[in-house]
Amino acid sequence: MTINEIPLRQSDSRPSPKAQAVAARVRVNADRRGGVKTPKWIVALSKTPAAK
Amino acid sequence: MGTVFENLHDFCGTWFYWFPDFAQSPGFAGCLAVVAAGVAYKATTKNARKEQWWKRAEYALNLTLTDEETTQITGLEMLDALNSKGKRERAFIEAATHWFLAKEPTGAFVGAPGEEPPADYDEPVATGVRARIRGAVRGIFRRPRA
Repeated sequence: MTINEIPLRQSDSRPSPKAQAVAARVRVNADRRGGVKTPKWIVALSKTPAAK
Repeated sequence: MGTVFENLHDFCGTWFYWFPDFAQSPGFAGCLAVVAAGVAYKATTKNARKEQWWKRAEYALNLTLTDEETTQITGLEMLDALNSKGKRERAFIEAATHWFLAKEPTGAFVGAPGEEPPADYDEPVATGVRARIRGAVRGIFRRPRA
């Protein structure tokens, strides 16, 4: 299956808690490298076990 | 042209007396060609690097747009692996993670069930190197002495 054959997410779908935690970690890392402040709740989310 | 080099002789003085003669030599033209080639090489490399970054970022973004959790996580990890430092790249990652970090479904509060999030939960906090060092130093001084 190529990337073009994978179904895209629907507009009404929501991310799983695991994907949300990983996204929080990615965002915190990007903000850290860019020297930008991150909202506290995203930092807290990035430190949860699901983000590891 | 003669006046220019005479003025250059005066301008260079005793320390760079050799420069006006050198400026008229083929060696100087060669040096300029090397510098120009260096500048062109640097510009080309930078553009190629940006193009490669965009290709990788586009692929990672496509993965995050899928409906499967594992594929989404793979895309997010790839975005993280891009190790982007620029403001534009950070903005790209912010946009790519925006859908994941909307607070509607879970409230994204990681406290105990039933516990209310603190009032300053939405406030931005610094996560840079300086902030981490400062936090570590504060942590040392906060530790209770045995």
